[in-house]
Amino acid sequence: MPSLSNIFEKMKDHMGSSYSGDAGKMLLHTGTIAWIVSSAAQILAIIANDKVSKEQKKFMIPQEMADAAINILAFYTLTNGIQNFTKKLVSSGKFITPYIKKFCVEHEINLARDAEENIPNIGKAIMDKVKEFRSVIKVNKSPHINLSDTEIGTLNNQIKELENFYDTKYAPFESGFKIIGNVIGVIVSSNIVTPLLRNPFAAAKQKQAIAQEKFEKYEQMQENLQNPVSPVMPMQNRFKIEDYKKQAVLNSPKITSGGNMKI
Amino acid sequence: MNLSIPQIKIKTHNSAMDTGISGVIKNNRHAGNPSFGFKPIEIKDEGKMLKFVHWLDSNFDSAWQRLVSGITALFTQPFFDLNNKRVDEDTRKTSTARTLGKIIAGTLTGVLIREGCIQAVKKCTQPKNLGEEIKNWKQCLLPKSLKDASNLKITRYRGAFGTYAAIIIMIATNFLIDAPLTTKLANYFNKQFHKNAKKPAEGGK
Repeated sequence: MPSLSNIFEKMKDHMGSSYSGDAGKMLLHTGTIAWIVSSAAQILAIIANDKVSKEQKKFMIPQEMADAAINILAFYTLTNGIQNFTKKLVSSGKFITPYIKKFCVEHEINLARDAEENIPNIGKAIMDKVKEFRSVIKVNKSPHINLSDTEIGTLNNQIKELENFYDTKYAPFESGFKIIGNVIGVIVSSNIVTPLLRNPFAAAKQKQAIAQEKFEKYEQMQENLQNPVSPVMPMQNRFKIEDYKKQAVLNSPKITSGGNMKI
Repeated sequence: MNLSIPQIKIKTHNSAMDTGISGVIKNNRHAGNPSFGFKPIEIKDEGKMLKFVHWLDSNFDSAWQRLVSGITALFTQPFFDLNNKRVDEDTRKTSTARTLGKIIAGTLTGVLIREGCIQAVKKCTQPKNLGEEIKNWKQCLLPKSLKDASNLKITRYRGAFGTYAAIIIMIATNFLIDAPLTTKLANYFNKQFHKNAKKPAEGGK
């Protein structure tokens, strides 16, 4: 059985290999997980709350789940889509620096659609070239091919040049644009689309809650009239719809347009 | 049979194909003609825009993301609440007050806890310079695969590890700090909105 320290080491390695090369991916994953965790915490809090009746829980838990689904789906799909789009703007050469352009032209990396109308992908083309040169060196070990030491040295220099360009010039440029996409995605999904989707839903639920409360009060009144304990219900104890609305909105995050608490 | 590369500077797909080693490379007839539908946008080398893009890549972590999200939320979400015609005016104001409270409380705790965790992780993920003695605890959170990695890669890893740690902490602070702070702020804004709404009526008396 693996020890805790082994699991921890594996977790660190996994995190290192997954996120050390891609800041946009890290922001997308942590953002989505933050939404999932905060939504799950809200639902668990309702389940564990003794002050909330079973009937209220039946209403509040599905509502909270629907709210969480809107938040998580809107965040992930929109942010992922927009950051992939901004990344593609760079990889296809739509946004380019003179240095990258010059390098691509010098190394004959496609910046336009090819004969099969494939959209160019600068990053992939660089890495493909590196792989190709490596395979040339590898195959050279076979008896049929005989490259001179100078030629192998040239190939190795080409590999170094391509990798250095990728790491220091191209990847930071692409990653920066991916982050711009991430920021736009977060703003659009969390601050525009989610409130727009949630407001009608929250309003409908509020109306439903008010109607339910009115009905319950009416039933209570009918019961009191049929079986009076006190002669007249005191005026100050009577239900006022405005008071209920205020209480509903102030005390229950479920009936507001704000939805889940974002962590 | 001896195959040799015809040119010393191997750069082109065609030269590789000449060697007979790779046949998968596509025809490169459009090289140097950057366009797929509309003109590409050039960003100056050493210009402010490029510096900003590089800054984002090396510095923009989840604390920044939460801060930007919170600040923009202050400008958009209250607007949607105030213009939500599906509920009455009183509810609109109360809902806006609560939204403002949530945004301020959530952003404050979210940014501070994320940044705190990332800084704490930084202390335990110090790269080892050549010939330098470093205490074990200063590398206790650094994975083996990143011990010789670049600073940028380590910075990104810190951001990820710190954010995951912050998420775990925020499960508790969500209830211990965010919820009560939200209620306090919401009540304050609610009072202000209703006070302001009453003023013209009182003035008319």
